[in-house]
Amino acid sequence: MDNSAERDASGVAAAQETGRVELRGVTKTYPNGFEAVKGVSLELEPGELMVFLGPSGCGKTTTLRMIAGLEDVTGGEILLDGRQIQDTPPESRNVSMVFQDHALYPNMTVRANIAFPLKARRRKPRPSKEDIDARVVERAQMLGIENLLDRRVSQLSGGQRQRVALARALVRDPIAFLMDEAFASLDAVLRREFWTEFKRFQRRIGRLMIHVTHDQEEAMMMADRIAVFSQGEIVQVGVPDEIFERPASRYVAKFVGSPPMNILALTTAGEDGRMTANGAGATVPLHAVDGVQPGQEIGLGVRPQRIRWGRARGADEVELPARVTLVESVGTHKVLLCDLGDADEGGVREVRIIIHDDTVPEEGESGHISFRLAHALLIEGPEPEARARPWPVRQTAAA
Amino acid sequence: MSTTTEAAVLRDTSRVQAKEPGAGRDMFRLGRWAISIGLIVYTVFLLFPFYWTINTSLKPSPEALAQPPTLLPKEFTTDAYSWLTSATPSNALIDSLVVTVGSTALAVLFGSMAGYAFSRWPRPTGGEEAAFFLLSTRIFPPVAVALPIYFAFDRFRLLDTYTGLILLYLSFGIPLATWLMRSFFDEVPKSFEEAAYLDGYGRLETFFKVTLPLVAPGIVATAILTALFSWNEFLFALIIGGDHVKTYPAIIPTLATGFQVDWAHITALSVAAMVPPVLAVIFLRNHLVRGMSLGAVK
Repeated sequence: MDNSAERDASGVAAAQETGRVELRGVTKTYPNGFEAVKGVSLELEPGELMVFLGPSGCGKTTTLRMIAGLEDVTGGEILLDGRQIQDTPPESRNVSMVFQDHALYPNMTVRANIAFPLKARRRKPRPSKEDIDARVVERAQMLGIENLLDRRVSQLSGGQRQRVALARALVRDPIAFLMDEAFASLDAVLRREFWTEFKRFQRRIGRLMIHVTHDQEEAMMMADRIAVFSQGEIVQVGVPDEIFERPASRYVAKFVGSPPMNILALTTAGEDGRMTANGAGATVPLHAVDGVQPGQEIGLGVRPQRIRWGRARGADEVELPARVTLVESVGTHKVLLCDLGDADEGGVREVRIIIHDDTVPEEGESGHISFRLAHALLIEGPEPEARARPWPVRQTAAA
Repeated sequence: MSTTTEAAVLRDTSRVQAKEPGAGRDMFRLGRWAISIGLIVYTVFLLFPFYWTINTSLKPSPEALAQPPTLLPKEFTTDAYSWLTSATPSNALIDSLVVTVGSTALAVLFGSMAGYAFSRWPRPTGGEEAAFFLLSTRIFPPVAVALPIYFAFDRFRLLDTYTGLILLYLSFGIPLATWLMRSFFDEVPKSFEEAAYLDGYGRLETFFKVTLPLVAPGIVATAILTALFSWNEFLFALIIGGDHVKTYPAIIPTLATGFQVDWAHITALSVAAMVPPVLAVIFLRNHLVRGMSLGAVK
């Protein structure tokens, strides 16, 4: 009801465009030969909030700009509701975008900036002046900036500019909203406010939104689904919990989560039926799986939240000798930094643990850390693209 | 006892505090005075030629050459200004105006478009090298090409025409305007235009409705610099101009003959020629300052 009313107000035919965007093997190669995007395929559902997550230079922004039409696609297809749009110029795609620098025109008032997309629109019928004014005021109220409408952009603070930029993007009714690191220029407190607030807008408007960020926390907080990018490729797509709990590779495991996942370097031993992974002063039972041979270097990943300070409580738990080297207090919880086993053996020796109890070991104290193997990940090698999967537990041993 | 020492300490510190900033303020005042005096001297130095031109224009011819010169006209006359309304000087000023407005408008228009291309598509336009090559036309002395240009213009029947002079001034104005406008366009973030594309504007609409307004101060600065050149240009005005089209700089030497130098007329014409640029700078000074500091967008 709310939705259709909004669409009618800006004269968009609601029937044809639902906002289903599909990328099929999209590539971007620059004239100098640099491959920024190497075959990205992804289906984006109408109304979802998709976050492209990855470090700088991983191709996430380029992919977003190709969806917007600001970069030429050098290979593959982009489909909008089944229709190819990769050769459609940006002005005919009906997407709106919030830029990293907000792209607000300094020679115009806030009101003129927000009204700009309505005045520039190609689609007929063009809204009347009264409609434009009403719509601008409505969106300004929604973002709490109606008292700033007659100011110049140069008189606004960073947070106010952010709001104006959002109002400007939301003022018309496009098939998709794109945001390129739009919150990067805000301070940490303000940014958190915007995450929540924006997610609320997005739900209300019910349109596809694609947000690009390098901030994994921002991605986790905002996203319905996350697409993790690395070196021009999507390495994993999933809901935030899935990305967090079941990362597909060592790279994703390391990138998502703060503090990052602990990954212990172990070496497998034994034969097919009865294998173990050794290192870090412990022997961990390992059920034989494809892709893991005896004598192979593997990683055991476990989140800091999943580790306890203390001895194992059952057969399904693993304990490792450890010594506390540092205790960091974050207020809501404490982070212990521990050294594991023999310091001479090499490999990853440091483990971070998050503790919510009041009883915290002292710095320098020796003891054990333990965690359930069901919470651990098997990472099949030392390289970033090494596959990650749930730690295979030997059924007989657990029983 | 302790209270008295405390009081003494307090007194001491207060005295020290009172003295220190006082001394600093004195130095500050002295510095400001020195700077003010320096600026006054400099201003007098700059304004003296203007004063002397106006002074001379109001004297009758014999007094203009009197020794020692008079600081104010003894015999005040506006004869020279009445002469300005006669055909030769008034036509010259009109010709100057036509040629300047024509060449400036076209130079700014073409220069903006070329500068935009250089700024946004550096690779296809040849980049820094091509832009510099364009500017290099302003490096060599114009006299070097005076003769070839005369013959070329003669062949194309451009001598003694508005078109001829405007074309010639464009050849100086467009490179300058292109170069300046390029730097102004460089200051406009690309995202400003990309946002306009996404909102429904095409390339040309974006250029005229979004980008050009953003560089308005730059356009003013460019226009003034281009106009000043066209307005004051002497060499080609003399060579290309003729009986029909003669701008004011070409008139002035005709007033200095072998028999006499007509200082009153020369200075009166100079005063008249000063008016348009002075007015332009006064009215556009805000834009000009912003434009000159290249802060077109901020």
